[in-house]
Amino acid sequence: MSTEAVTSSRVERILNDPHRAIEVAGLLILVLIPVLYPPSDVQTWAVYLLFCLLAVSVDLVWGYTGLLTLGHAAYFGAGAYLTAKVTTEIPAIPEVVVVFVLSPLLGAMLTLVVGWFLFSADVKGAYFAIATLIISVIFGNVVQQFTEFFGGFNGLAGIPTLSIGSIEFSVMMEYYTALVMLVVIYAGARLLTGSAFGRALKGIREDQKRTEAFGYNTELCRLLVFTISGGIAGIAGGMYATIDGFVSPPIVGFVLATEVVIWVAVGGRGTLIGAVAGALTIQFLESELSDLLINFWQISLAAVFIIVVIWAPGGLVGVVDEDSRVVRWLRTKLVSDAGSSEKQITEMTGKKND
Amino acid sequence: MLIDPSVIAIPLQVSQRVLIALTSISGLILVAAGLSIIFGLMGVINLSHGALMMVGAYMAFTVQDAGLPAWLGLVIAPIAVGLLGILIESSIIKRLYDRPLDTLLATWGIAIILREGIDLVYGTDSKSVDALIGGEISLVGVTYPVYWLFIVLAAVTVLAFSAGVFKYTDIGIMAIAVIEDRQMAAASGINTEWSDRLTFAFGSALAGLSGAIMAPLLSVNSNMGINWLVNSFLVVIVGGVGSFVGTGVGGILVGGLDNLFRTLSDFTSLAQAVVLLVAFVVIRFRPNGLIPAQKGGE
Repeated sequence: MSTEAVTSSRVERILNDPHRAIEVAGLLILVLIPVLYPPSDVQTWAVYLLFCLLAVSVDLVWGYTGLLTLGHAAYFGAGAYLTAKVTTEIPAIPEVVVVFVLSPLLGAMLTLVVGWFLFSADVKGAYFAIATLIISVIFGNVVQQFTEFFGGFNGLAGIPTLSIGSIEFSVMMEYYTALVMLVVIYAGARLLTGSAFGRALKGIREDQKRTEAFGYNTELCRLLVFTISGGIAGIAGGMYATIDGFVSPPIVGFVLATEVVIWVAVGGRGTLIGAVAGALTIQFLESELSDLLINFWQISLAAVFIIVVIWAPGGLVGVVDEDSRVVRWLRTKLVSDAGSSEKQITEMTGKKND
Repeated sequence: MLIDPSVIAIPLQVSQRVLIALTSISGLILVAAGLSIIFGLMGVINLSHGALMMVGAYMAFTVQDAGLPAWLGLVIAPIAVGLLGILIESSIIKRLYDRPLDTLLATWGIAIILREGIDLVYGTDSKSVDALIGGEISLVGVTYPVYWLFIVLAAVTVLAFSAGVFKYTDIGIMAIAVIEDRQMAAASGINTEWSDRLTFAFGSALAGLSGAIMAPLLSVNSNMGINWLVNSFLVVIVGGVGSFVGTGVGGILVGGLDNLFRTLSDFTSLAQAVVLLVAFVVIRFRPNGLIPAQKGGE
């Protein structure tokens, strides 16, 4: 086999499943981040990863069931503030328990209550979006109002870093913990959406009445996925508090809620990889470009967002979907030229004969 | 009249509270009127409503800054923002009428562009705008700025005018026809594209006007729209989507409750949170609002 043929088959493999390629390449980059960047930046990257988790939780609900949630900042913030309060006030409870048990529980409980309340009346569409937005604004108000308890505008500082026993997590350990969390939850979400349950969710998105007619309890399905996503948002918030060491109203309210939605939309909703890719890319570009472009950064991001919403609902990863125009074009250019055209033709004719 | 001043002390406070509440209710209705057209009638979930109102307030500031008479601001703001509305509709909204949730996303993008654009042009510091009419009058024993009365009058006028347009004018009735049944309306010879465009522009113009009218009471900055956006949605949804009476009732409920909770407790943000919670419950139990619109012959 010539080297040319080897590369061509590799290219073909990538083009047959471009999203897998993005996953592998992305994971590779993320694993190497602590090597590429100084420790001060690694902490920033750890925070990016947590916002990726939040984006995954939003995509699970919005991308798969079509319910646009603007309330996830509240569940993220709830996890963060809970961790901030408990770790500083009740040192008897280990941080690990607060972050990995209590925070997701609080997020899940909140979404369970909100979800039960809204889904039992079949609130959806614009009303669901606005009702969940109200949740975010209420949380923002509450956090700002109780200056004594929640620190008001100044927020709460001095949150201890994670530690197990007497070992305190270094920035490196925090980063890899966040990365492992992201990989595990991403893989879990992937399994979930690929399962029969995931197909039921997509059924709800496409046609809720028909899915009900097939005998699915769509209310329960929606409640389940909403609760799971609330748990993910909670755990992301809890980790955020310990890694950043500081929580303040911006991570609870309206602004973060809409930012996540922009990440997921631009990345590509309903793909999970799009949520992660969008969150990472936009946060990275924002830190690199916002000083240079000042107001034009937000303006161009908003313009891209509008363009994606109107013309490319699949987002950036939708452009490199396995049967998107770009990938099909690349396949004809790269793969058939390198000698596997015959194989493709037999494949195609084989399919025709079926 | 011989009344012991200690007896009148409480009623005086109450009447003052009522007048303050009346002004804030009028402000809410005024700002929400445009949204009740764009969201209530057209079904466009317009998250740029607050930003359009903000642009209106900046128009009033620009007029004042140029040394022109203040009333000109109330003329220029609705025209400028109405034209902006035409631009937004013809470039973005018209592609999204069959995807309501996407209008929410796209209009949020518009809101960001407007906010950042205003910051670029005017800088980030807050501006203040002088009231069109100064002076105070004494009303039921309380001194009351004349401009507050003007706001009450403006709210009533705008609401009545909008309701009148969609009930009695040809162009308004056509707009309703297009919204209710686009194909039927097109078949009877209505230019549906321009009908949508003008309806959206009308709603935008009202947002701009409300911004210019409210500007003297507020600190004018690029972020002023967000609170008004959320409140306008509450007013329209709580009152009843698609009905101007509903918008009035929604304004009275939201503004009234807000003022009531403010009087009862010192926690102003919490008062808003309670109002939000009430709205949240209303969405759950009365998704069509308290006074739902009457559709066609039903």
